[in-house]
Amino acid sequence: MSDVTHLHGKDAAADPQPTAGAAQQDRAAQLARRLYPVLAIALFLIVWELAVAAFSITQLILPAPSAVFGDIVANRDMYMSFSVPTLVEVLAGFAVAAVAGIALAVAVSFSGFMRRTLYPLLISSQMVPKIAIAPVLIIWFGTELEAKVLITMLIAFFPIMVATMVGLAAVDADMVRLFRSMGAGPFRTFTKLRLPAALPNIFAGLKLGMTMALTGAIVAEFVASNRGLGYYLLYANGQLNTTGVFAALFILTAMGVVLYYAVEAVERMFILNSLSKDTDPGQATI
Amino acid sequence: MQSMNQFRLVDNDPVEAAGAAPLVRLRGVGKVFPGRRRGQASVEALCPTDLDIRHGEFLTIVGPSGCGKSTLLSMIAGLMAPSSGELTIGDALVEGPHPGLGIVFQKDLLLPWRTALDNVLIQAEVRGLSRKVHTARAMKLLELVGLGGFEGFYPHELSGGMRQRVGICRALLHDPSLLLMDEPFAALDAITRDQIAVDFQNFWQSDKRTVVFITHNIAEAVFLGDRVLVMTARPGQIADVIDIDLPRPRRLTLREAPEFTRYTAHVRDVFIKHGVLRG
Repeated sequence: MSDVTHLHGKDAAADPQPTAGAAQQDRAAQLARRLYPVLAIALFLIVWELAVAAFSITQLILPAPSAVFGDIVANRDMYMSFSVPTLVEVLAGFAVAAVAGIALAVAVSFSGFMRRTLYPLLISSQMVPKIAIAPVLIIWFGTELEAKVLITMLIAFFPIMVATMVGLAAVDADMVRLFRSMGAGPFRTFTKLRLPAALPNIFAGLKLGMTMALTGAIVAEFVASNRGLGYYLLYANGQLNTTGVFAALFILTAMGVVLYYAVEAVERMFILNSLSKDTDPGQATI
Repeated sequence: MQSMNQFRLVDNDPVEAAGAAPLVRLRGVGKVFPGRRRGQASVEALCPTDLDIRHGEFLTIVGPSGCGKSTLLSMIAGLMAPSSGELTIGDALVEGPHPGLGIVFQKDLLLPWRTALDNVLIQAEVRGLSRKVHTARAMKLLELVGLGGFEGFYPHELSGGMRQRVGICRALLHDPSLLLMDEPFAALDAITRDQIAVDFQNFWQSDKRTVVFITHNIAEAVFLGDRVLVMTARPGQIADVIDIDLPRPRRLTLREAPEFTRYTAHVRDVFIKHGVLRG
């Protein structure tokens, strides 16, 4: 079969080496792509700023972005001390949700017994409004960290579990046959096939879960807390300090964006560049 | 219904029978799929079949969809239990996937997150064999199928033909005594398909491994096979077995030669006789 390399040479050359000029163009285009989101946000803030000035809206109704940023800078120590507890709750709740969500999905995917018993229970638990059970959890676990992590986790784990289940189930039946023909048992099929094949789905779930965790932490702090940005939001609102409310929202937004991209960065470490870079999402989901 | 050509399928020649025991032996092997719903008739996918597959032979199986050829292969592969009869590989009764077996499917079934080399090595990893020991062999196999230098490429960077070649290397990594191929070239375009058939034949000639090759292409079956098993549907059964007495290496130009077309015409006539084709 060695005499056929030339025949497939054209296939291999499907991606010809880009020339220097083309590479430079490519890099410029990439930079522009990265710049667009930043420009869009900047434009949004400028329009906001100008609108507040043009229509002379009072700070009580809508503070200008410059006033919000000014407030954050002026009171940075205070905002820092309110941000840290929230961040801890989000990270802890997310971590527990990720472990529990993936573990439960694996259990449900592997065991018919679990699928018939645990799964309906989990589904039902998601139908209960979590905000409604938050006060009960506060009674059980107190106003300390545990209750808030639990509420965060309850809100964040479901998308992670569902996405993992979908990923584990979506494996090509012929691929499973191939593994069976190679003598693979359920464990090897899981580690070598199902789990890596499910990674794109799992990370989609983790990204969703991370955004949910932020909501969860704020909800928990709304219900009972004397710390965190959720608490500060209520407090500032009570004081008719709209600028403070917006400052807390800005910080929360920034926190959420950073955490989201952190998950995406981890995803890129796990899933090959060649796959995730591919513009065809079908490639990445196998 | 018993296979009507039973006497021809089993090697009754005492001299040859004494010389070499067959690698795979089927005795009355059949498969019936029960009806899914109540009241639905069960389907006989394969009539009880007798068949000997000799050591080192290239056996091709040709037939229309639903003739039970894939069922037959799945049972030899140990992926599906026969409803009746006895199936042995070597001396061992087939009760699950035999370790000395390699399979190439119609889809290349490469793992998209693994390079060509790692896709070949999955065979060793799954079987718990040393990756280190098998890396050199994997590289040699890739070289043999014309993929030297492509070991670091991912499946999406390879063409369909190249991907299927990687699949063949994966099936051969653990040096199986029996290679099962289930319409391996069917998903490829006609030109690539011809090329890979010639290449695979040349490779097989230096390798002399026992191959069972399923196809629905008459010319491909005759071109590759030492023996061609002609199967017909409803119920799935072996209609004829033809020894292909053509010298190797066979070239693509052979396909226009009269001795070649005599064989393909014969297969076609069997299909016409059984109503698979209307002439």
